[in-house]
Amino acid sequence: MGIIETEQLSKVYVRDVIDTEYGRLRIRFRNRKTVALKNLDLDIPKGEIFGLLGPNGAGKTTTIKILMGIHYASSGTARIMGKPLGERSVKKRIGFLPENPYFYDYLKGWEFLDFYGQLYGMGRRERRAKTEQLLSQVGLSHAANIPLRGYSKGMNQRIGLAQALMSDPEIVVLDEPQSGLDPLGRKEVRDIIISLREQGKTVFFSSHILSDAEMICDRVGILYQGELRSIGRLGELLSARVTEWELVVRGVGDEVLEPYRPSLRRLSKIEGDFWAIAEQESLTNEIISRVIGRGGQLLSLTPRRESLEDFFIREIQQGSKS
Amino acid sequence: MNEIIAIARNTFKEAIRNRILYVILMFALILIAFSGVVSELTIASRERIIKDLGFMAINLFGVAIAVFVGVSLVYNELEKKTIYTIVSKPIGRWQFLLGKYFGLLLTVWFNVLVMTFFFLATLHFYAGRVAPGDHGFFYVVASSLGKAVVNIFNWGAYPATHNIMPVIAVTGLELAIITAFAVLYSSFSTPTLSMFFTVLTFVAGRLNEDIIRFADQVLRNAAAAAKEAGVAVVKAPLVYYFAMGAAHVVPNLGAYHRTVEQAVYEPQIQLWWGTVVYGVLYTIGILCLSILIFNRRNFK
Repeated sequence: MGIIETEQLSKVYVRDVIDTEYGRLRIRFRNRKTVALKNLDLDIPKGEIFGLLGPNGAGKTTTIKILMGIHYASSGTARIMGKPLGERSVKKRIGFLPENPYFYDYLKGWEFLDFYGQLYGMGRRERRAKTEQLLSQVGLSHAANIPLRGYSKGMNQRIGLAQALMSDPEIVVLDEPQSGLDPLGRKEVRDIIISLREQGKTVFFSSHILSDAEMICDRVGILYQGELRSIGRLGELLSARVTEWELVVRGVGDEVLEPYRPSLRRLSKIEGDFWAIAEQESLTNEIISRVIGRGGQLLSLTPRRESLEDFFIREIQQGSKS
Repeated sequence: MNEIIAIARNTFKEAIRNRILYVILMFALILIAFSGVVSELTIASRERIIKDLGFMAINLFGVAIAVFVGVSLVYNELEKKTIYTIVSKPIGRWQFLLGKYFGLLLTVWFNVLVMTFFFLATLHFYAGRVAPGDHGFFYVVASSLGKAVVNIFNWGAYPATHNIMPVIAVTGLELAIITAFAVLYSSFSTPTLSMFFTVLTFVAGRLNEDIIRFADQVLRNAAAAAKEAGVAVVKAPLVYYFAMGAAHVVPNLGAYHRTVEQAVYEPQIQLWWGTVVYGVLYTIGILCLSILIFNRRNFK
């Protein structure tokens, strides 16, 4: 039995629309239905990092909203830790970070975490200790006394992550945790997710950034137009061919990487670190050996395979052929 | 309970950091302060003018704060999606809504208290100016501020203002009803519509007794007409049922208004405890309705 289970979960949004035709003065009221999720079956075992992937509008956020009790399912059932949704004892053991979170920007960093601690029913001393620990874990100790309106997007995402971990949850649900972040920010979020797995937590997250998902997920489910198209390990689902490599290097001067600029798809400098995208494996190897030869450091190397979009196009084309 | 307190405290913090609150409060304080100046230009009793304007300012601006701050509080949570992180926490939606209500009510009451303080100080100031043994401007200002502080804690400390605080308490209750309406409307509609509905409810509530009087008059006319025509059974016209129906749906705020009038025109006020019980029960009813609506909602 999985820690998160859904059975035939569906969501249909009904919107009232008024049709008006002034020519013949006809006014008609009717419902416009949008199917956001169709018969979703999921079974996530304890301790797994599961990525729900898909393009915008695929139904990822709808699934998460239903699981978190923000929306009600139109049909089907879902259970978390064997209990129906909305059970308070279960909610206590779940941490949640919504997509593009906006928080109470008039609160200071520590006030913000303290507030969520109160909602979990934590005592004052426990809240204080947890707030300090989480602020340092997400690298925001220095910003504890700054109101959230002074936070950058990356800081906002990190304080959001801290809020999700406030009750030391067993399940962490993250909706697009890496959207809008630069590569270093994404890496930080990745590291936090991986450390959650090491602590034995179950992570359920949605993303449309395949490379990030690939690095951390045990399993992925791919949603398209509200339907679960495939589920399994990402490597099994997508073509193994790498199309480009993303490198982040540190500790070398401009003269080391500048000569490669014409043959690179992208080369930029962020806070002294270089971020480059190469399309050939040989070029990638050459850059790595040159950087290391000059005493530099390779911070990350991300091979990028077929994109999610390519995968869908492939799948849709195959579907239309058959 | 702790969860409700946490939400209420956070709501209060949010409201108190809202600029519109200070604009409204500033207008109210200016009006109260100038009520004394206005009183010098009229023929009526100076005290009566100050009281009349002061109560009016506290009442109207109290409603304005409930409306302007209140209607956007729940809506903002939905619009900015902060509600997502709240409802996923181990708290019920009803606790969230009650927390919002009490936070807003605390904001309204806090502002009423600030306005009342200035109102009392103004009354003491003008009373001090005409008292024998003139002590000079600054002495009178300082002593009236001090008297206002004493008056807030000891309601009957000075004969001239002995019935101010009980009336403020009644006004506070009336504002509690209006605040509940602001939360009710904002739990399902946009701020502009909620604002419109809340103000409408306030006006209709104040006119409630007039609506009943109108319905009675309609019935009396019908009875007279029936008598003239020699019909034994009086058939009430449809408009009677409509008016009575409306009068029973909207809150009856007339009793609260009468208490204010008594404080201005009469030496003693008569508090009818039924009004207090009515206000509390009505507020509970409206909050239950808000929770019922809010529980069924899908957030955007």
